[in-house]
Amino acid sequence: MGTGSTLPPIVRLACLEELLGHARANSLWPLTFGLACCAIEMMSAAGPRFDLDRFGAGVFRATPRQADVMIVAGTVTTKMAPTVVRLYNQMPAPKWVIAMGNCAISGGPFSLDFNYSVIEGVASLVPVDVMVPGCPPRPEALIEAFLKLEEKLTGKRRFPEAPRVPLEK
Amino acid sequence: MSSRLQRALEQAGLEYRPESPRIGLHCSLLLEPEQLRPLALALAREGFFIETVTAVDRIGEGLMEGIYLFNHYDGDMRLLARLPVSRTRPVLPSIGRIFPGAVWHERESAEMFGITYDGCPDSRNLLLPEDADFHPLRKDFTGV
Amino acid sequence: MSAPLTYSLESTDNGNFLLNLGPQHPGTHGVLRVVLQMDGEYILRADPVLGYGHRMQEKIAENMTYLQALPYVCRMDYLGAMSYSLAWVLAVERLCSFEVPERAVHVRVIACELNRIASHLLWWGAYLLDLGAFTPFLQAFADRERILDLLESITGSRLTYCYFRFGGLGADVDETFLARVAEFVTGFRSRLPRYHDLVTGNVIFQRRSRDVGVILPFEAAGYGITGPCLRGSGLAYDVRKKEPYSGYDRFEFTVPVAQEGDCLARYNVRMAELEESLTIIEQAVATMPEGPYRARVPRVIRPPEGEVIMAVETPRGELVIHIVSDGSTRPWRVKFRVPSFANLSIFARLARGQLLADALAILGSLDMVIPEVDR
Repeated sequence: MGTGSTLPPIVRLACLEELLGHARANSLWPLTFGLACCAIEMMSAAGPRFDLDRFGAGVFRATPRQADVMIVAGTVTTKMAPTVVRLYNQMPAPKWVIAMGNCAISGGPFSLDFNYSVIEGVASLVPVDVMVPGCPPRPEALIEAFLKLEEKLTGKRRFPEAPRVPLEK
Repeated sequence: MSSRLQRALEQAGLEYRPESPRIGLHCSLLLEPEQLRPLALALAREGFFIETVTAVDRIGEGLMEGIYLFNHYDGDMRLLARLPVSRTRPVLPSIGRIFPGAVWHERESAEMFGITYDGCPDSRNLLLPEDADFHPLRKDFTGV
Repeated sequence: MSAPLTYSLESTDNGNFLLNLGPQHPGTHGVLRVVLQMDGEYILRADPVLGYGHRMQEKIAENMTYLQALPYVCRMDYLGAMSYSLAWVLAVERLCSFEVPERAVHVRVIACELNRIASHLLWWGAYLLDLGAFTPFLQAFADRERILDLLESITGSRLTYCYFRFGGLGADVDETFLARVAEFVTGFRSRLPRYHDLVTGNVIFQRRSRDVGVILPFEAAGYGITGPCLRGSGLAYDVRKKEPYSGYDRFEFTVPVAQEGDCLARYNVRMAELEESLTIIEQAVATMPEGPYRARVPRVIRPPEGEVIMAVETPRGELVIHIVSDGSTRPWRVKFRVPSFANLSIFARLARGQLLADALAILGSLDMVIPEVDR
């Protein structure tokens, strides 16, 4: 279950949990929540070249009532923060949050001394499941975030890991 | 210098002060607050458009300099009007009823610098939260 | 966290109600909130509420050196990042009187025009998404990816480029890049009729854009409208022609203008601008000079005391950067006059009396980027 479910489920369907996990992982419907520059890379990820739809995640819902995962793509400001929390609360459980981009992780380039307007990281507002670094992260990075989220739901990774390139000593 | 700008300045009773186009301006004026509205009216009649209304915080001299930038769609007529006022309680005249687009510029400038625009049709905060009581672009602001 | 906005317009009896458009809405192109007073489907009054994307850009520019502020400038209008960073480097070069080599001038023009095409393509896809069509978005993004590949090969990033430096470019371009650009121009020119076949003559699109959201020429000046929104109403003001910068006076191109002032006119202007951008790119590639790509400038930029104003034509309109320098390494005051700010200020006037669906079409046709408006 994602971190979004605050109550433990009342009914446990032991053998169906795994099936439900796979079903949820293969049809994560994101909420269109583009705030700033990362939104464009999110749109590119949904576009024809990177195509989130082949993972079942291409159906972006405008209303939180129908969404599973909230991709916080962009900078969250103090004025926007109550809206982020309200949208998160409006999403029905099970729900997950992907913090996309440096601004959503930690305020990014805007975490400065005189910061009067930017929330330094959306994790202080909502529980975050996956963080995608980058400014903006490439669409492939967002796809990797979905793969990580699926791994969190099912326990298994969809694609084999790319072989790690050994560091030159 | 173009005839439109000349006519507008004559109507407003102001003298043309040329500026080098190399820095992007064709005319630069230093005004008293009561000279602004006649100038804005004359410019509006000649078809000038409002580029921006903003301010510069000259904390060293104790002044808040209101900046008004106008331009014309025919080109080659960018005009900057400077209105220095006291920094402790800056009050500038509003041109929001002459140039409707200036209202938003004035709202932003008011919340960022703490300037009161006398006669502005709308004085709510524009970019900052509704209950914000700080003025970020002032030089003595270092954070909330 | 700030207190939620409490809102009260005039009394909402007579069956009128307040409807909140945004700040999370697929049709607002960012975090824009518009409070609408509705009478059924008709809008009685629209009141945009800004600031949901306010990222302190002007305060940041005043507290960083000129080079440190460059990445922030790109992130204001991320779709037209090349034009913005060009405006910043040109403003500093103007302030410090740096000369830029000819090769850099040509590459800057190519990069900005490619960026303009990419921005218009995204606008096209998003505008039609707002109107309810999904296929154009996929077409536009396919072509946009080709441009992004080109720009990535010289800058290293897909979206927020930091390619220009004071005095020239960050890195040189080679023959492969120029050949690929020329190939892209011919390819895109042959694909452009497909865009028109798909959308421009479509009866639903025509009915939704014709005579909707008319900006009259005499009121444009009062709001400071610039860019395609202005040229759709018959006024041919383009900074590239009126105050040529970075070599634009060497290239032959026309400024497309439409007369009707409605959404369809603005659409036609932007589609025509795609062709003009291709023409400019072709000329810049064909006449590319050899030479250095960057002039030698001081490592620490310490401009003389004074002011400078730089205007450029971004895909959205006229951007004016006003820098006040006190002779130190950091600017004293930076003002970004962004085109979307002025273009959005007329929305309240345009939306009055319209159907809600038409108001969204108008919002799309104004082509705004909200983080640019909020800075």
